[in-house]
Amino acid sequence: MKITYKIFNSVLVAFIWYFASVSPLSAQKSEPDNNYGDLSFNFVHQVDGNPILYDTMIYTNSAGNKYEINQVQYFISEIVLYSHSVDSIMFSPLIPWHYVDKDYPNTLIWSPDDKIPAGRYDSISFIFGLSKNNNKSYRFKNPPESIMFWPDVLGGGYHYMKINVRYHNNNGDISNFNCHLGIGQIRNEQKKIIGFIHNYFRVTLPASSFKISKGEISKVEIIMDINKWFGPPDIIDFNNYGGIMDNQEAMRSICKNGSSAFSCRIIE
Amino acid sequence: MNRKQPNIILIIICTGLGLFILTCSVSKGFVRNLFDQPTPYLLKISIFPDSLNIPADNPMTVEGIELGRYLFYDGRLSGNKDKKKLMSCASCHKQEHSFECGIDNPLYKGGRPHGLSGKETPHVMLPLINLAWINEGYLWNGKISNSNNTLGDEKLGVPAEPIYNYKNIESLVWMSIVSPYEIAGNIEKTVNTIQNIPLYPPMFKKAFGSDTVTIERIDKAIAQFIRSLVSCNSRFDRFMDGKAELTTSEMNGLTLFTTERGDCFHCHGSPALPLWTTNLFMNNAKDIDFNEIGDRFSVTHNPRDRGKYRVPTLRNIELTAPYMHDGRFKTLEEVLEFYNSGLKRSPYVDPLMINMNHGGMHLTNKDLIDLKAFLLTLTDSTFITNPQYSNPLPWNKYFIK
Repeated sequence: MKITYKIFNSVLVAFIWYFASVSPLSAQKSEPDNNYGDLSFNFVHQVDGNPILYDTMIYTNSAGNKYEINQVQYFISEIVLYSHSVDSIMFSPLIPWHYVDKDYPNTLIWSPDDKIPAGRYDSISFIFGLSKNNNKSYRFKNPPESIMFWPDVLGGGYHYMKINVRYHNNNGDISNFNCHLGIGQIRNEQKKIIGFIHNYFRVTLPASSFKISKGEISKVEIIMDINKWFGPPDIIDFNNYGGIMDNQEAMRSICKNGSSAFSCRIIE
Repeated sequence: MNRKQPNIILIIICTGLGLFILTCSVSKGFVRNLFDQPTPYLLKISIFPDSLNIPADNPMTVEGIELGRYLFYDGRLSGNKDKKKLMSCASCHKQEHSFECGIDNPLYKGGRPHGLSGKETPHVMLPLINLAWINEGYLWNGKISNSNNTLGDEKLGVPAEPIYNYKNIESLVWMSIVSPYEIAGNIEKTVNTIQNIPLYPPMFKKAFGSDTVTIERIDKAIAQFIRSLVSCNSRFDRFMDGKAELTTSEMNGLTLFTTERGDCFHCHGSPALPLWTTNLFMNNAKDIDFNEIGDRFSVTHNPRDRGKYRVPTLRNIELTAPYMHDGRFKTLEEVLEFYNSGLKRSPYVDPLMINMNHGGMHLTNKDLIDLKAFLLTLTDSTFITNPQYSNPLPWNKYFIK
């Protein structure tokens, strides 16, 4: 019986040792910080280099429409950090998307726990919106992300972006324009939907070389100039639209303009 | 026998007991656990958001919900036993109308409720369904929210104490007791009346561990019952589950609803937003002048919020006439006609309302019929007949029929 008791005690001690040393909690504690740093993205919205004054009719687009900006909501995803000195990596690979909403300050910073190998990185790129693989209907159950749904009949998934503005129409009256991007539709001659087009696109940020230092936090501001979505090169006259969710031609033009809507500022 | 052997047996017994306690504490239903604590009630609907608005100091329990159900229907909540002065939540919130009063209610002409004093409520009702998933504030203007730090009501003699806050569904209970538009009563009188009804002290004991009735416990119990009112089994839900069919007309209605032709979905949701509301506050182009004192502006004091009201859920919309915050539309046809050709332009209209640019959707009559047909698929007939939500003592003269 004494031997049995000793065996039991040994097993118990081994069991406790295993959990103390192999559990995720202990692993976190003992993980070395060698040669890694942190990276955080801040999202900034401007017009012509100045912070936006929301709900204020002071902006003019390339078509000459006077307008105000009311809502700015969008997804960016699959950020890639390119480097020739260390391996290029995907930022936050487990959850590679981020929702940005000017009304929710906590969405204006994307700072996951992932450690980034220290070194010099040459440039940053990201997908504007959600790629085909990530843009699945019913993925987000909770607001505010869930409110970005894109109806199944129009292709499903989620809005890449909602920029909602009020403007003075050609008669001088207040009107609404919704710059909503998402999956586009291919229609036949009878206007029946026969296929879909994923309008997401990859943006490479100009002058986005940055450095990750061991144990340090590097910050990158991703700056979106709202006015650039409306041209050039394609001039978007709000009077010609209301919403554009089932207008693939308009969405294509806005995507074309959007490629140059982004810049960045490195805060190392 | 070695003297250390009992330790092994003790370990086995403790492990078994621990597992038993664990099983008791996580099981849902009507079995009370070992320590006579109220039984936790798990509120989880797979298609709805995970983020529930349940205060940490009022977790839902089977016993709390049951007590709340009794109080919800007991006319003595008014603090009176006189038949003419009975009033409770159920006086206006009727199950058959998704817990609104209903436009055909013989007591409340045109679906506009009033209290014991005869004063009509400032707004028409909102349905009491799926409220546990509202995190943006309650009532048409969102006044009841966690960000509201007001306490008490000096005019009505309610002291500025933490229990008299304006933060959640619990607050709506004490407010209803003193409101001149509802019970117009006295909190102390209500508490005393409930305390002296033999039915209740044991129920309070089971729900809260004490047979002493307090306004805080009344608030909590009724709030728990209201949070348990879940509607998620409409024909459209069954269609999404592959258990029901929609007609061609209903399918066309769904398409109109979820494209920019109807453009209903940006505010009222879709299968991907199955509460069928964003629960946000919007100005939907009903008016040009905004003089109503109970709009969202009255809460935020942001001039841009003039004329904004909560976007109501479309679940059971068939049952909840009259429509809009002031009940100006009596039928769904009137509502659809408003959105089709009656939108009014103003700088306060929500920018999502792109159909404002042209005065409305301008759909054909057939399309409007299809849109209505689709809306009717959101009626949950099992909800309005669910015995869990009904009057527990219909034969009792004090309970509101």
